[in-house]
Amino acid sequence: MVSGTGTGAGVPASFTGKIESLRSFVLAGTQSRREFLGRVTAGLVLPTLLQTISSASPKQTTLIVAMTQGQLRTLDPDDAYEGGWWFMLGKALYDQLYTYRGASLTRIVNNLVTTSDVSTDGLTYVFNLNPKVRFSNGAPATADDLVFSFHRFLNLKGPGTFLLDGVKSIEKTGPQQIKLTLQSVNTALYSILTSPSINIVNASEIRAHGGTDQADAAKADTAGPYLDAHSAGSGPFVLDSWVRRSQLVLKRNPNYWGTPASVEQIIIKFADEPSTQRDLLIRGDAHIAFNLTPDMIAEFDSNKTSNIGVVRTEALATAALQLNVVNNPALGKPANWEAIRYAIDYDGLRSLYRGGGSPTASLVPPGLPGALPMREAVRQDVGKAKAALARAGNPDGFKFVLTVSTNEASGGVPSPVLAQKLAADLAQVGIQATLRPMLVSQSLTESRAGKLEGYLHGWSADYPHWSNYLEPFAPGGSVSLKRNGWRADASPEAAKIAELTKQALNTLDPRKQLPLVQDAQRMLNRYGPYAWLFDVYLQFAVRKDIVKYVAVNPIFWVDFQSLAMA
Amino acid sequence: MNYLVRRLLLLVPVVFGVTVIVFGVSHALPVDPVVAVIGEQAAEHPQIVAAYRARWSLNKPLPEQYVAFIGNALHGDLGVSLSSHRPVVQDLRDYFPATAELSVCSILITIVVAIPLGIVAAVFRGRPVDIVIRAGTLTGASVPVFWAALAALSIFYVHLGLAPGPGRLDTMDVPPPAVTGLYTVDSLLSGRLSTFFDALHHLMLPAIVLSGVTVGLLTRIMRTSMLAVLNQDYLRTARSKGAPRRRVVFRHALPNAAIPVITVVGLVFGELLSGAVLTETIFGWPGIGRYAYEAATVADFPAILGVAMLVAFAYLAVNFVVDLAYFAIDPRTREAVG
Repeated sequence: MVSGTGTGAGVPASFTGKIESLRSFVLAGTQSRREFLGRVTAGLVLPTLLQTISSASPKQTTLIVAMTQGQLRTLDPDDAYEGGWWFMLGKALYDQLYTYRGASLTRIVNNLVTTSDVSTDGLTYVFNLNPKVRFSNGAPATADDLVFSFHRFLNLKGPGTFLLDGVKSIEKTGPQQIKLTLQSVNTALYSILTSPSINIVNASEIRAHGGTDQADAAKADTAGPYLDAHSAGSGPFVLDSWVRRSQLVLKRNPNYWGTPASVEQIIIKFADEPSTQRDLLIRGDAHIAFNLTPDMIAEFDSNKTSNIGVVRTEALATAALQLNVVNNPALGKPANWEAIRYAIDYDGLRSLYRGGGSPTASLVPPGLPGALPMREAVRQDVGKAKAALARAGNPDGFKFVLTVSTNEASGGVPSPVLAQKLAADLAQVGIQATLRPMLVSQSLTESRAGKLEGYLHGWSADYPHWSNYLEPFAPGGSVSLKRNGWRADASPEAAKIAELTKQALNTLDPRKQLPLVQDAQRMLNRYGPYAWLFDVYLQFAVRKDIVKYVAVNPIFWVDFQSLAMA
Repeated sequence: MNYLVRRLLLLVPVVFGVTVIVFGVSHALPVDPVVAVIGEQAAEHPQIVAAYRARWSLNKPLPEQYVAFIGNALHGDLGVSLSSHRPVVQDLRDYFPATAELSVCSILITIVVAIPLGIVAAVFRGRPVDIVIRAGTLTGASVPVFWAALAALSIFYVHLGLAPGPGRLDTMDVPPPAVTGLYTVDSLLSGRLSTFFDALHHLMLPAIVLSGVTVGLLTRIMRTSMLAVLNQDYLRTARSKGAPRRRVVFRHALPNAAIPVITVVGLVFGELLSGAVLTETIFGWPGIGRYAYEAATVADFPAILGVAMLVAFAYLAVNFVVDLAYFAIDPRTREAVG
């Protein structure tokens, strides 16, 4: 056994510390100083700057957040899996083995775990649980609770279950210790264990309300309704109430074992319409608005005298044009993929997404280790596009159907608008993209069945690790093969990308692993049936006179525990 | 009475027909509901997808799914929503009262405003008051509801502060214990007067916005209907015999002119009960319209069927009441059906 990678928890204590940790995180991703400054000015440190704003008014203790209810369908911690909605709430209500602090995603810190060990073959992990951890009802959290939590999560067979693919067993090895055994090496395990879908829950409380961790849990477990109305965790907040489509109320956990949150109550007011959220914010009936349009955000951004500011963070989502290589003969030629990539006016896309995104050089977003530096980004080059078309034997271009989801947006840009821009760019080199609109549910169904030609579907993180991007998009990966028909044996280049990806997945040492990841992406940029359009950002509007400090994070969106009010 | 019984019995084939059509059309769409509601990664895992299909019986043949649905529906079970993971009946119980409360308020405003306006416009046909009413109602009927809702919220909530914000209650107010699901009624039942006034206050702006279109429509129909009746020979006779105008209008003309108006009120009310997606969205109103819209976008078949059945019932119930109103107002109707 050798020591695990988890480190002691620690939020930088000072403003300087935050800037320094942010700087080291950004520079670690092989990015230039200019890029770093760009990202800083893009707003990642704005939350911290809000700290400097003071107010003479009495301290507020209730935070009101306006957001859509989105895909939030359950608050059962072992069944919920709805991107940021649940991740934000799950982090507030429950505890995970590991976590990220503040805005950084480069440093995984201990949360439930005090120490951990991993075997030299990378297959066996031992986690020692912090004995101080208490559930909100005051009961101590033990290894029994953790084993119950893992088993219930797996046996409910909810949408997040895939996170623990390859886990062979989870056993209690002591009152505060568990052993997790893998079938094969998983380089992303620590990152996965930060997911708010993998929590510790109060086993006795959940059992008392019909919960079970047995193999038949998917049918026999009846604790869902209870957990929609009560939390059974050890997080900094407890669930007070949830009136669906109206509002959800969290209260500070009086028995929290860590540093208590400074906010006493959080009310999440569900409002689907962006203008409604803006109205609530302007009137002061909401302090943070999550789902404003790029226009609204730009308006608040440009008005520096307003008491409403904008905070941004990467969404860890990459807006992408994907091409199926078997449904249209022209799209079966790699040179035509290259022509499409070079025909796109990436700089022109900025006028669409504005603050809602930034250029990206790779599938792995710039904020994650393994991303390519911006100097390697594909740029528009009409000459190269035409040359590639000639090489493909289509000097006058070709036609293909570009499917667009009418009810989907990336970085606030509606997909139909993005598709029109791309079609105009492609037309410049003679490629005719015929737009085919449909609902996102239909386009997802058809793309997953491999029935489309070209389509706009981005990719976002289930956990912040390069493997969550590269593995599915490498030739023969789940996305490349099923949706786009791109096999690992399609060409020598495809075989090389697949091999590099496999090597990276089996390499535990980050110093050797990340160059492999980058090499695979360089080849993917050159030989793959994809165009990475931009890195999607999340943008929130915040009442600066009410919210003194807010840390935004691509995974958890807002960290309520560290949030401070004026 | 036989006629009314026949109308009630007609409910059965109509609701059955609605379920067949909605079930058939829903499943004809090239959408896999499981793929639509689980994440990208989960959709690539056959085990997770299979568990979902089994949980919602989507792995069974369509006729078998339909028979099971009908069998369960007869026992009051409309299945479990794919997107909310709750029984559809529970979802409908939560969301329909919000829509019903808004619809009742809106239709009351419509009736109270539109009928007098229509009568006045007809009686003073061609005069300035008629022109003003016609212009006003035409404008009301022409303004898109979503625009009116956005403008109303911006003016009366944001700028003037006269109206409350979106939602059914103030953020810090707690919903009354659910009995009917109608906050105005439940707050009175629980003796919470402040919540009653809060709920009523929140109802006013969306109800007025919703009634903008319906007032325009109903006023014009009332006016047209009144004009048609006022030109009848028997009213000319009444006027020539010296009957006062008030008596001519309200006693002789109005009951006859009201028949088409009642029909339209029934249709409008039925439509309101099926939910107003845009108004509900802008006012943060957790009603059936938004629920239905979201169910449709993710092919949540149980929810879609549940809403379709509820809306069918609502329409039929309203039309049944309209039939009763015909009987009450017009003796010829009673004679016609024996």
